Amino acid sequence: MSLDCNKNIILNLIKQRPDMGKTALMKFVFFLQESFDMDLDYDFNIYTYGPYDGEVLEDLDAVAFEGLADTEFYIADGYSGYKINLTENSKGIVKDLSEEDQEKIDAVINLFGHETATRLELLSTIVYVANRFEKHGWGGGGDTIFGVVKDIKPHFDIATIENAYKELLDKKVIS
Amino acid sequence: MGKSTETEKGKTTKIRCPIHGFIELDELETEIINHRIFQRLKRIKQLALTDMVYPSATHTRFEHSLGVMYMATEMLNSLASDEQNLEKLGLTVDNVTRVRKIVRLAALLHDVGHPCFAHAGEKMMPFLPKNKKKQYKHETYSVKAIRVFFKSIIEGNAYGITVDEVCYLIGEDIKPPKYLIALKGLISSQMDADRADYLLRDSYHLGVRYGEYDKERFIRCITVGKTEGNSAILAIKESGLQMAEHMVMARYSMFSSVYFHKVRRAYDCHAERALKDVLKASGLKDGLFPPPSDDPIKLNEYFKFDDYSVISAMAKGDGGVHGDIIIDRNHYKEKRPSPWKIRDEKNDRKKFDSDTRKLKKKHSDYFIDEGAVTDYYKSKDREKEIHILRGDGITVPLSEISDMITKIGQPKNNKVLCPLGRE
Repeated sequence: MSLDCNKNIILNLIKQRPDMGKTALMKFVFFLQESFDMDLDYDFNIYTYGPYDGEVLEDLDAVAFEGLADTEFYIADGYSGYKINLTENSKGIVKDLSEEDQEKIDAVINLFGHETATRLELLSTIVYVANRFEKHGWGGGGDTIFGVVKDIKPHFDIATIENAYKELLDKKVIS
Repeated sequence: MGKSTETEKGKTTKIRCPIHGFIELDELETEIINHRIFQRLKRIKQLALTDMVYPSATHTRFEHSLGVMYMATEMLNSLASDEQNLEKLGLTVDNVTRVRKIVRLAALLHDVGHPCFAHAGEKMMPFLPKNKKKQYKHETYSVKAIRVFFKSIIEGNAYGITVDEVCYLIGEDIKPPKYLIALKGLISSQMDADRADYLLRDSYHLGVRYGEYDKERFIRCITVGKTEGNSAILAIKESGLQMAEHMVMARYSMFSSVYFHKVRRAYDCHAERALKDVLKASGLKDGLFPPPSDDPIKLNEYFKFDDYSVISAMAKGDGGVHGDIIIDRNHYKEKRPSPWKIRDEKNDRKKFDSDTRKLKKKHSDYFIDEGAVTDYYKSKDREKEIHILRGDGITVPLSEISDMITKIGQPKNNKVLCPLGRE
């Protein structure tokens, strides 16, 4: 069975971060493409839950359909989610990545692997807005980056957004 | 077109719709639908060449667009009737009237850039300049049309609505207006106004009953749930669970019996090839539509193509062999044992590939229809998923709590189509 590049990246992310949820997978892929210049060709768009492209989960569906990954649904602490893991069938099928791609995945998992879905939604939204703020004119009309993020994620206060922004600057995920 | 009347809301026009009754339009909306670019939708059939199988399937994107506007309005009105929903959506009683206007315009104009021959036409979209693997989507043409042809109409209204607000809801990647971001799902999601209209409309015009669902219940049950990350998302109240299941089944039945009907699929394949020839004959060397442009003259080059102009070109012989096949209704037939049901990627796929290899040796021309995936309900994501807001406040995907939906499965029905009489 041959795997295309994106599906192999997804399987490697799952391998490296077992039990990850769908939100985490979406945002890890986003960080790889947006902040680590991995050429994945996804088309992210911004929603209340942050950057999103349905094709990422279509690729996950495809590897699940091929019996390489398993998505387990659960309900806990007032919300529902998924735990995604590789199956036994994936052994020998998930291909090793180039050193460069592996380093990028290592970096994303090290930086964000421990974050909750809520925080990942916020952090990825900040990256999305920051990268478009000057380049794509999102800064017009007197808005600040924090103001635009607040509009998208109204349940976060400005101080929390500012702190998260500084954190991303420190980690050199944005500049 | 109905009669115009002067009311306290200003001059309104009422248009009779067989699905929703009278649809009322204000002066701005009336001016939009009377525009030449919007009138083109009367020449874009909703279901392309489905009338080769169901002769009455001749309804167009024009009446569908009016229906989507009607449904989006009803859905928003239902949401806005609950103060808690208003708060979760970032709306207030004061701004909901203006937001409703924006949602109506986005719903009305969402398909204005649709190519002829519906989704077969999408295959002839030009490739993105920066990414030669990806093609433009019709939404990009809708956005361009709104900015180029409708800006002066939209921005000349008393509500101060901007084309940015309308284009954002249609999917343009621009800074999201905060009061609109949670409403994107009304225009594009598993339970959006688009499919809420087309299921009923397609059923009606085809003369089938499969696509019918409880519209009134659907409108009443729409609410706001939350994602894993605590963000607002459109959902259905738990009391509407059976209605939601029924809606999914309606879509499943429409896909199985109509959208993936073997003859309809054959004509999609013929339409793709014939359209390519027509585009080439009209001077487009690569056989693809002209790219979207900010220049009205260049953009018009795309909008001059509609079902009428392309069928006329085929009748003149510009559509090549496949154009003749369409004109003569002499389509390729399904090769037995089609469809190959790919339920198990390992074994079923192997058999399909081996059967196909044998067929390729026997036939000079054929279509392998791998597009016939019954994706009536991909449980893939929150964008395309129907969410149920449970009584305890937890939002869960319908596919995870409905035994019926879980059991449907997702078979892939691949077909091989060959020329008539050549077994």
